[in-house]
Amino acid sequence: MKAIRYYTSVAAISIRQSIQSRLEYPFMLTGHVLANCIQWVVGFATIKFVVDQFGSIGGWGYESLAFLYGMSVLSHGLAVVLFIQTWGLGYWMIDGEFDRFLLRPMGLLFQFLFDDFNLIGFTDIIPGLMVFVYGCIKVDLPLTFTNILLIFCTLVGGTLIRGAVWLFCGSMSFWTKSAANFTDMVGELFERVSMYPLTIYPKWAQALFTFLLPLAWITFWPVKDMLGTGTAVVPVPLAVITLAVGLLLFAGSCAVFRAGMGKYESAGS
Amino acid sequence: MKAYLFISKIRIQTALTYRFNVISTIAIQCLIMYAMSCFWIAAYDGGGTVSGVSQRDMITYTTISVIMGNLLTMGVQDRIARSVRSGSVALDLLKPVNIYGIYLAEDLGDCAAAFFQKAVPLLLVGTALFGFPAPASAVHFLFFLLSFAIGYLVNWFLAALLGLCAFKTLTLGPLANAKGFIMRLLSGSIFPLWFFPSGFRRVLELLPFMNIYQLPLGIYIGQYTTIEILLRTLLQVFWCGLLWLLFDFLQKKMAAAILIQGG
Repeated sequence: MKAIRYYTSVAAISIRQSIQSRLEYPFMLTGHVLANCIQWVVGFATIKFVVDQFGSIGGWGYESLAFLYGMSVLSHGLAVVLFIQTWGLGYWMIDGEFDRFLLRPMGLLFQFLFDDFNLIGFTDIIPGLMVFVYGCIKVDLPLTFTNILLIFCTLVGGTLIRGAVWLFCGSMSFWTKSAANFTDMVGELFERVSMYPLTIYPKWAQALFTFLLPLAWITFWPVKDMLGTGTAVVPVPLAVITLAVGLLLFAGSCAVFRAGMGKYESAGS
Repeated sequence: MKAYLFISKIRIQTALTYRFNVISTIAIQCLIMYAMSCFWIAAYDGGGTVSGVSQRDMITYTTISVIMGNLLTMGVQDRIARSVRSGSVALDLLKPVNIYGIYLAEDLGDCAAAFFQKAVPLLLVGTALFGFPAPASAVHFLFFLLSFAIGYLVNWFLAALLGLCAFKTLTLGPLANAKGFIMRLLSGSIFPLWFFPSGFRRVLELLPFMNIYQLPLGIYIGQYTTIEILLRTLLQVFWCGLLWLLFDFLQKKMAAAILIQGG
């Protein structure tokens, strides 16, 4: 109990410091708000233009696509708030930054995960909410307690899946000894799999993104379930499975990170 | 010249060192290329042409676009931002070479390495999955190469101009984000401009971004007539020249206003 209270207080202080350090640069924050709002709204507009030309994509009209897109941007924003430090993991490793952590009497993973709380990520959440609410209205999603719960599960699960993939990719640096990060590319892949319906892919690719590389759980399966366009195969809502997949993947990535730290050899002088 | 070539060579050797990075990059890029092709196949849903473009054309467009994306990675903007932040820019400027020439040589070295490490494998995988992405004709291909080269420079000057902002702002943050999204959405790298409403498209055609992806790709799949190709290439050269002049002007101004951090 005492340990939990200790860890919570350290996390709270760390989060407060991160927020304060970001507030130091109000101009930068405003810039991010503008850039991200335009980015996601224009991003959705371009998809709408293309869908207008073709009628529908993989059997999905633009109303459902708005819902899917909004959900995807929301979990992206949350993941950016909580897990942005994973993007630079390779540089931490190369520069020997983990030395600091190793000297402190606290769990390494805890320190790493709570080292940064990126306020700027919320600038993704604003446009995400805009498109998401627009999508909710367009698909006539009833605002029931169940639906809110399902959306919550999807967002938590989706955020964890994204964080898990980033942490996994970052941890690869421990073995490759290179600071290269795949964030941009992985982000692009997330976009392709979580903003467009999975039905555009042939069956084998759908299976790939569902079971082997479970990115389809970030948005597609729970959203499809919520919109009620498919027949139920499993007795639980798919949003719950998203949450489970998220927890499982994240636990897995944490294990990979710990194993990677075993390979950590600090930096030369 | 020898110094610049040497820098390019070093960059190629650096790129060859990290094999794991190359393999994972190719794997992820293949997935992205495949995903985008599937998107178009689903959109066309069997056939026909939309805005005068067929499904086959769009798959070719996508394959070549992903390959171009790997060749057009620009390190210059972060390079400038980093050297301004760390203060090493002062030492860089003292070296007896044009420092921006060195940055360009680095990026060209990366491009050369990416051609063999990424472009060729991606082309092979693309061919295996969807058939060879053939250009409209040999002439179109030559025009494509020319247009790509000019587009490369347009892209480089844009990145370098953004990098110069770091002299004033010290960090690129949201500016880099904004540029990244413009490059992705408004240059035609994912969705070609001809699918957009005409008003929106006209605005985009007035900006330099479409010269980087849309123009070379449009030429490659034969979207433009010969007259149009010549006119648009001229416009592209104009943009390239204008950005160069702007860059040269600003670069001199910024060098005079260097602020070294720390002591």
